[in-house]
Amino acid sequence: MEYHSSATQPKTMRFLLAIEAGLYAIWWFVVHQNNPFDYNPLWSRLFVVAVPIAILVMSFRFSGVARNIDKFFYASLYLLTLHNFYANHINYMNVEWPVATCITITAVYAGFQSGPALFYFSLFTIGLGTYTAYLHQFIYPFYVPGLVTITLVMNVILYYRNRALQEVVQAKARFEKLFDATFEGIVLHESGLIIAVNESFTRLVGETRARLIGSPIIDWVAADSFDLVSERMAKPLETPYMIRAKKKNGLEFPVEIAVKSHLFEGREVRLIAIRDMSERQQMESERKKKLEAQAAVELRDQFISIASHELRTPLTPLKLANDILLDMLEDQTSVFSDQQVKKILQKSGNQIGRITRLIDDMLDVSRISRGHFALRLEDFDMVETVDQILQIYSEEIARCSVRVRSPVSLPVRLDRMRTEQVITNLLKNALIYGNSRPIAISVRAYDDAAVFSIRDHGIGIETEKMSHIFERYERAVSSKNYGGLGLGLYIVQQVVNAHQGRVRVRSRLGSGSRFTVVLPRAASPASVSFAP
Amino acid sequence: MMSKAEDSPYVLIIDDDEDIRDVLTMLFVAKGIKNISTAVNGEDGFQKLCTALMPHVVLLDLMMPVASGWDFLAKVQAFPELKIHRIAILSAGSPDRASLGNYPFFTKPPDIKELMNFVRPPTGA
Repeated sequence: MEYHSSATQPKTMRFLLAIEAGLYAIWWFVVHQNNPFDYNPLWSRLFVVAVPIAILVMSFRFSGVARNIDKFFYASLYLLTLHNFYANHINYMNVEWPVATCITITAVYAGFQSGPALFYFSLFTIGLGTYTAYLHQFIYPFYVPGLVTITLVMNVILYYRNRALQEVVQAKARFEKLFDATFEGIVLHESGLIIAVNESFTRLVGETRARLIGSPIIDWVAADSFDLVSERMAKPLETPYMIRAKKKNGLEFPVEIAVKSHLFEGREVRLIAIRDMSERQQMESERKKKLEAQAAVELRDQFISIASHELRTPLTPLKLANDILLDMLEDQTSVFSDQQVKKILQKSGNQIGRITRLIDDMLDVSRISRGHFALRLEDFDMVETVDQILQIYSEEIARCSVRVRSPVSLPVRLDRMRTEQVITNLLKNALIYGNSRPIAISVRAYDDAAVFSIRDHGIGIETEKMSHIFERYERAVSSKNYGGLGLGLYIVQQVVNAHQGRVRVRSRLGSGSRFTVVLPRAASPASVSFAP
Repeated sequence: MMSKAEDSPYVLIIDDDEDIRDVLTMLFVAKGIKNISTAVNGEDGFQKLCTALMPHVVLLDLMMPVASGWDFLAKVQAFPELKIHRIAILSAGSPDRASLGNYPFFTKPPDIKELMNFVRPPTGA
């Protein structure tokens, strides 16, 4: 970029032209006053004043003149100087004024122009002066020392001006380097068309600077971000936001952009800073995956410890019963009657049932998480099923009062085993967490739905834990107080989901819980596939 | 000569699992121990301490509703005037031993001989 062109902007040159014409007009007026017998013809004087004024006026009217105003100014300066010497020559007059005028104009001009321009103009002036001195020898000593002094002064001014200019050039070069070296892509656009980009941006989108400039900025935005971008463009917000950008090869990638209004060469443009987020997003997602894996391992370890506890509990009476009977046979001393032996064996049998159920639950969870969970639909009576389950738990139920409200019968078409599992798990929970207070069970029939609901008045569930109770291995109570694998409600939810039903819970800490299961009267076989 | 109390100690079983309580009771009966009492949780167990005879031996489960084994131990330690001869912990878990003091620990299912040695130490030992 040509930096001293900034000194020859139309504005500066117009100013100089006005001074030039003004000075010449003053001289003309003064000469006219002092020399009534002026031989300088009016037309020549009119001409040299009219020329700078005409250029001045034309620079406003014609863009060609405005663009090349420095050349026009140059021409008019030479013309004025020539006329100046010509007038001195033909009038044989004192040259103080014309020389002062000439030197002032030179000074002003040189102060803003380059070294060579000053050199050529000095050469031209000295040449003309020498020629004039040859014609009129008495003039010569007056102006040559002055001209030389002024030329020297001008050179000093030029030196400092150039040094200042150089600093500007360097600063600008530094800025451009920085502009290109920043990691962020930077784009300037005016009403959607790109007017400047830095190197990072060309790398981001994979297109050359030359092709980018003038292209619409929206070409580099992914289609799904159009709405967001247009919405944000309408608002004067400057906070950064995320969009998806598009490369030249069509690849989309996430970026964070910040937009700012900016005054660029006198125009209001939008400056966009773009940061590539794909690497950061990838890092975040990797970090998240790692954390999830860690959490899964922790959950598994916790589950194994709970599972071993749960399996050891029924193992204890089983082993003790075994040892008692073995001891009895070895000692040959029968402290137990046959009735008591039978009771011990029954206890053992119960433990085997408990262990089997635990293993079944674990296998169910494994099946669910692998997606191998098929419903075997059959016709049965839900009321009858509830009665059968209550029969099994009659011993526990006897300790608290259980009230059942149900229709006489409720024929359904569901997976019988799974439905039993749902009712059993909910009943067991009500018995464990019900604090031996009354339990209310209701079965209701609707046209297309069967609703089972169970209400206890026990410990209830904390509000914060309500959202987790249906998750795998989750328990809303301390493991110091309650055993269990934490699988019951998880299995309930999965079975109900597989039937395309719903399970809801309402609970208050300290006053009990109500679980409501809504199942279709007839599950559709198509509903067996579901996400675990 | 063994004292009568040591020959047939008074045993308190604190466990929330009914089957475990029943089978342990049967075991002790088979071994000739007559005085056996059971409790379903830590609070129930502590009530038994206060209202009945002081047991010689307490077999304590840890994970129980209402008041756990830890709760029971904390209460017992708060009343040093309670003269329980021996407390042992009988648990299926593997809890942090530091939280349990120096009480003997039996993992469920326990070895029957070791358990009996604790409940009724052999004479001359």
